[in-house]
Amino acid sequence: MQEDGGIHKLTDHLFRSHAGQMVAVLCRKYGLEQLDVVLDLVQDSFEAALVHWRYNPLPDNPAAWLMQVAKNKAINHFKKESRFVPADSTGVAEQIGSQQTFQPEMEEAADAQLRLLLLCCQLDLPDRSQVVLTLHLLCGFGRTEISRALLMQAEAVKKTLFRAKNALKTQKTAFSQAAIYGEITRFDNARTVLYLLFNEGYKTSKGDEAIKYDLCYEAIRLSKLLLLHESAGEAENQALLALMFFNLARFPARLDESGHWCTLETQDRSLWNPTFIEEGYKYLRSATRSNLLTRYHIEAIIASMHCAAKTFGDTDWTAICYLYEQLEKVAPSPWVSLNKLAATSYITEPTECLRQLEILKRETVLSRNHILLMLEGDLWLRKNQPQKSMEAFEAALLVAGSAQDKRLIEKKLLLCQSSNN
Amino acid sequence: MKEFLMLIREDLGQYSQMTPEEMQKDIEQHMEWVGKLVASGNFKTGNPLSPEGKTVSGQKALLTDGPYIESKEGISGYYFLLADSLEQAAAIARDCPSLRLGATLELREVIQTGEE
Repeated sequence: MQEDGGIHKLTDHLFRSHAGQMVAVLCRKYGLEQLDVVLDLVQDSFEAALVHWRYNPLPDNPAAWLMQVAKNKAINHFKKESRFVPADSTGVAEQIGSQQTFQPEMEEAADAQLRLLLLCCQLDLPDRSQVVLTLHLLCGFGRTEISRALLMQAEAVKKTLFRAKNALKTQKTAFSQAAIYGEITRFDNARTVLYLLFNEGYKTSKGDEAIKYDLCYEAIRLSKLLLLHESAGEAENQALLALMFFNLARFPARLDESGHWCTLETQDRSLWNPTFIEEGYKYLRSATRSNLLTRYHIEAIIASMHCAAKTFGDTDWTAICYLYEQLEKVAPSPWVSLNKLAATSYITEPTECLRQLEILKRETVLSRNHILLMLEGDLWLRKNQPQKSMEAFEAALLVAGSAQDKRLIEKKLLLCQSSNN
Repeated sequence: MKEFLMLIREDLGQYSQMTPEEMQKDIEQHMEWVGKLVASGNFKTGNPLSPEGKTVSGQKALLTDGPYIESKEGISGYYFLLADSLEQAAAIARDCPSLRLGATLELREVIQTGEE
């Protein structure tokens, strides 16, 4: 019976974040080989909440209620399986015997999540599979949600999850082992996976905006877990968070009203979220206390410079070019070079830029990339060669993937035609 | 005001297919719906029903498990609503969030025998 008309409210995404917490705490207690049972128990706990809370006022602490129900269900389940020996046998036996409630400490729950995250990100699997697994286990994403968020076929999600879960169940590191925190590479891998998760949300324009935003939100939530454990690349974690916050601040301005991609130049900067920019600076300040300069540091600083520019014209391209040069040294990739060239194009003669662009075309996989071709089109236009510009834009149009990119290029083509006439 | 029993009939297995986020949204929609009904004085009470049950039938009082035999559908819960007419009760029921999950709602006026 509900008489108070919902005095308590559920925190946004409470279920999602607590799904991960419940899975992690139970896996820690009973071992990763019990993963499938654990997932079922957590699902049952949410169903219990659904049945109760549709009709009754929420308990004072819904999160604690959920965790307690999950733990009780686990105790009951494993009591029936009498031959089962828990992975962490200290203290569990009594709990199974007496059905005593065990209060989860916040640190315990966070620690369990961090361990599960590190394990999910250290499997011998493609990065994307680790993103899928992380979303499923730590963010409570179902198969359909993953397929919507990552634009994957439902069947592919199912197969990926099946393989990834098996890889996790059979990997060698025990959940509670202290060594989990000892290996620095685990944190490196986790950052890579979380960075990819964030970009899956941020860098694509296709699909449902709400779920894209959720991906970014979850990437930030999980990245904060990395900060729980001191030392292991703390400055890098701070830098990653700074980068995510600066980018998230611009999230609402990425697309225009009709869902078309907006370049930095055309974004409505009043839509940028000042609170997130502030968060970005907070993390950036902590990240730069040490002398360490990683790719995340450089990318975060670049993002901060965009956020600091009041208008597109105010952008400090000289500094940004310098930063991209540094990024090329730390984390070389054709994409970084292309970004550097795009930044350079604002402060350098088009002839010189076109020369550098030719090198990129010749030496990297980007020769048929639509962003490179669009940059080429812009550069020819600046040189007052609309014919060559049109050729570049037409080539870009052929290789552009999304309808939105195509529309953007068509706009540019119209611009060329008008200056050609 | 008159009193109406609203029975919610739905696929009892579908909860296991819902993700945490979907379940949270569903709960929030129900809380909002009930909250409005409480505020407007149209809500009396409501409770979920356990999916397990037994059926006793006929002169031989035949005992079978489950509230249903073939179908996965079953009554998942009930509400007592207060409304001036069956039409008003039906209008209230049309906003019930369970409909979004494919539920069927049955409304029946409670005959107040004590008042006669």
